[in-house]
Amino acid sequence: MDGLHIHGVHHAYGDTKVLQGISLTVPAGELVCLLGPSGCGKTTLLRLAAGLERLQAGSIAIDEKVVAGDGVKVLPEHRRVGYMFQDYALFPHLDVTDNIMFGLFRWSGEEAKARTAEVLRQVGLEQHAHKFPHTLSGGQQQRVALARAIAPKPRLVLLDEPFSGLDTNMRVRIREQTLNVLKEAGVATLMVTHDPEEAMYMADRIKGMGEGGNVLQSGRPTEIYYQPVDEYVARLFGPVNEIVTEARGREVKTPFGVVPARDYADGDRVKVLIRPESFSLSNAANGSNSRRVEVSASHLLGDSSLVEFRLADQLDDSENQLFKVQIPGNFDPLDHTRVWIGLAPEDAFVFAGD
Amino acid sequence: MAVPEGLKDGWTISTAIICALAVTPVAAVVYLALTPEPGDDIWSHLVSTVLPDYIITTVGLMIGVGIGTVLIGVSAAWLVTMCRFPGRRIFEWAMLLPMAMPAYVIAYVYTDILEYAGPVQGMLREMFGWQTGRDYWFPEIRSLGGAISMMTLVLYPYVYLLSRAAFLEQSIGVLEASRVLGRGPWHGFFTVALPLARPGIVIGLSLVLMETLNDFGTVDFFAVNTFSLGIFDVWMNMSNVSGAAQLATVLLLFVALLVLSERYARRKQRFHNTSSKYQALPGLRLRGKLGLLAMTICALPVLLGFVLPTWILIEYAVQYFDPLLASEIAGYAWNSIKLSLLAGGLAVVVAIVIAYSVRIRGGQVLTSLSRLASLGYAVPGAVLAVGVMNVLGPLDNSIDAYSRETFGISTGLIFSGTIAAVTFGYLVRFLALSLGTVEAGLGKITPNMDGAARSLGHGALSTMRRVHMPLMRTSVLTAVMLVFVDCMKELPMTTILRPFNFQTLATFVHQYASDEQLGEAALAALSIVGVGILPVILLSYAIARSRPGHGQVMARPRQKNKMSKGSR
Amino acid sequence: MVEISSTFELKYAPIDDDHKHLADIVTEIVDALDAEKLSDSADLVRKFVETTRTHFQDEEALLASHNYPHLDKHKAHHATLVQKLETLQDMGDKVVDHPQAADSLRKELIYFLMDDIINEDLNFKNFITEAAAKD
Repeated sequence: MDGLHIHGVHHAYGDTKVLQGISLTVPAGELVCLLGPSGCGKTTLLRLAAGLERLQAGSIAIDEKVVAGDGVKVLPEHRRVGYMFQDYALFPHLDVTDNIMFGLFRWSGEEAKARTAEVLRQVGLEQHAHKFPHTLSGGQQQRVALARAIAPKPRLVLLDEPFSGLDTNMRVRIREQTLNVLKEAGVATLMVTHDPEEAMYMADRIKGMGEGGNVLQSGRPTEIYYQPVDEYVARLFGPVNEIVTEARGREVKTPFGVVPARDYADGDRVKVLIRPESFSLSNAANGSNSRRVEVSASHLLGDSSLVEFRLADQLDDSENQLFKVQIPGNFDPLDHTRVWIGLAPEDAFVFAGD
Repeated sequence: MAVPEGLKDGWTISTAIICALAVTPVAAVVYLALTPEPGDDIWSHLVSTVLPDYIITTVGLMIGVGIGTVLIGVSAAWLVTMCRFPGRRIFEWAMLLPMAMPAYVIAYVYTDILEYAGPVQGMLREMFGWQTGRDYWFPEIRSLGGAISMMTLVLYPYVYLLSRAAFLEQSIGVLEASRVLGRGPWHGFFTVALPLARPGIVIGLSLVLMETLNDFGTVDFFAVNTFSLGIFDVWMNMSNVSGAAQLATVLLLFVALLVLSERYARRKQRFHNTSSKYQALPGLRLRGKLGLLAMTICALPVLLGFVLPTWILIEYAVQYFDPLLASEIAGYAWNSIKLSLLAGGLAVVVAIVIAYSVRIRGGQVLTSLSRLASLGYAVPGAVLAVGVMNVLGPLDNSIDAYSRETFGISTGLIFSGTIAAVTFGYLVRFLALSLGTVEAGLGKITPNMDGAARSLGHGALSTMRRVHMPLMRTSVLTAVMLVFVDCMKELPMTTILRPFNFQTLATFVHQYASDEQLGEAALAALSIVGVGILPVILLSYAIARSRPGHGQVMARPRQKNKMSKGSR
Repeated sequence: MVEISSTFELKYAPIDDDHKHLADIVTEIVDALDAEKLSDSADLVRKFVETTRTHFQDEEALLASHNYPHLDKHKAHHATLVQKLETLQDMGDKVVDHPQAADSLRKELIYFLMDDIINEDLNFKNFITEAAAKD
């Protein structure tokens, strides 16, 4: 199968283990994203795939050919890998065209020129062909870096936090464009990021990584978002509401209704995690699980609002916890004196408590 | 990384060897001092006779030069950065001009015009009808006070440069806050700006004092008994190496103190800098008398430290021009250029090896090694000269002995008394200059640029040629130039370590000026000043580029303003 | 056509044959999806799910017989995959009425086979070849 195949990669700097048993497959034309916190060894994996770092354990194959491991070490310049660095690493002494041509030195002059024009058009930088990197904006530099990486028609593209240097507006636009360019190129792409939205937008498959440099869960974006295997993966996608309680009769009682807890025995301490965007707000009681709440604050975030609330009538004697719900549009507490909150049971995740 | 993996250990080993070589002269001096030859041990003799004099004179010189340079440097820096007055733009860079002037050259010039037989006293006698020196009082230029004045005039730019940078880096908000709170601008200077700039001033002062300790030409000419002169005296006139080494070791303690205070201030400086960008400065407008005063404060050091002596040298050079002498001087100039280019080239090669090993291998050990290797900039030339001689002498002897034993051939002296010895001394002393510049240049090539070049299909050599060489060119040329200029001016090591009968511009000027033949030496002295102008131009250019609204050019602390540190 | 290339082989015939068999079923599914024979593909997914379950059981028994030290971990991994099999079956059934889901089914099957099953089985590659050599 064409694409990238990494198996059993371990890596350590001194005593610090940054990668522990990473295996992954990126078929040609697909984009796999490693999602994890900073410093979990994601960049190291990219550097290993590119041959910029010496492989310590495991094996790496590109298009069915082993490039590292089993006594093989293909030099980075012979791997045909396009690498887009987080800082872009454009060559300051070369203009945009020469930066892109840098990887086309084996091509004939005519072909190289045509290819450069082609990738410049793909990233929409035709007018900037002869500018120097320091005169370009962040978004333009990002696109030059992308164009330079894909110009030599690599077998594999590696993206290291490709959008982290861009402001929010630009990020959305460039993200879309980057994805189009990569899909058009039909190349296997491995990307690392700590931004869940980026990962879900770009990836065919996400691998959620833990601090120890191991993969905690692999799956389609929907799968890993809606069915996280543990608390850590659930929290990779942003802050969550947390209720600590006990399981009873293969269920957990929460203020927002009963949630199934098949794997837990009576009396087990469990943590129920609920994403702010999983709640629904309404102006009337809506089914038996609906609870009336008191809104304590609302923050407009742009296209959505983050609403903080407490339960209106406390059922048990536990402390009156503050919850957060994110809903589309603006929410003005003055317009909503009586508010009910609802939750679909499958949107609450139950994990073992501490 | 752009280097084959097999070479990696080669890098570490080379750096370790270079570092060891750079440290040997100083180590040799300390070793000699601690293990004197039984008959040569004159330590107690030194202590009871000359040592107190050396210490008092050296400390006095340091205090005098310290106060003088801080007064001139800080006030000029403050005026130029914070105030607006006629000529400010010109003074911004012109204040640096005296850097081009070696202290010994300015000393010869002023002695020539201020001594009893000189034009100034002659004019005074004529005006007032005095007959002999007993009829009036005139300051003796060949004195401690004279030495202090000369060194102050050419060394203040260090303090100026660093305090100027410190003032510029201060958040203007702090100063404005002080004014909004009802304090006048002068109060702001003493309570806010000056304390914040203190680390910068201390760094500049440390560099000034290192140069003061290094000076040989001036104190020799003025017969001011500092350590440098004492080392020469004990070594050359009393032929006592151990005694010279002991004096040198005491001098090294002074140096260590200066290095420590410099390092400490640099750490503090990093802590103090709240903003990395230069901001538009308020520009306190000085009009009328105040403006004139500001102009005078700035103009005087430039006039006395550069314009006047240069003008006098030009006068002399023209007046005493003689084609025969000129061609003789051209020969010495060629010697100087050869030697300085050799040292400059080697210093850069060595710097590249060190900088690349730190880059490729990284790690605390290599970083510390590179720091150690560049400590030579603080060691006075006289001390290094003693060290180099006493490393290379025994080395020559053992090579000779080995060769005679094995091959029956005497090799004689291979290193000592040859160009190799001088070059070695230059390298140890000026490595910091080239290393700082090369490191700063290399810092601009991020490791990811190597990675990008490699993954775009270029091998290590191609990456070197197409990414590193074009990006490093300016830094490498700058480094060669800086070392070249300082070698051209260097006097103490050149005097001692040069081959027999080998004359450079500096030694020629010193010899002739000491014999009261400044006229004949003027052309050569002028050439040295001319070469010394090069780094001043470079610094001025950097200053012009780093004005508010432009990027900061000389940002690297290790390189910062250590440019053009040389022998005076 | 889904192939098990050499970098994915354990060089241990019983397991490799299982993997090849699974790959053949995936190929059949992909062919059926391409030919828009959607109900065929749903049946084939069922076959894939069943074959995978059997493969897991056989593999666990094999590893147990050789006292594979990390058997528990591998079993736990199988357990999470068994849950995923349900999702796969759902996707296979959905495709019948929603042809636009064919693409994600195709992708998911390939990732499931290559990344989730085979890549994890490669963890005991050395162990099983050495164990087999001893026998």
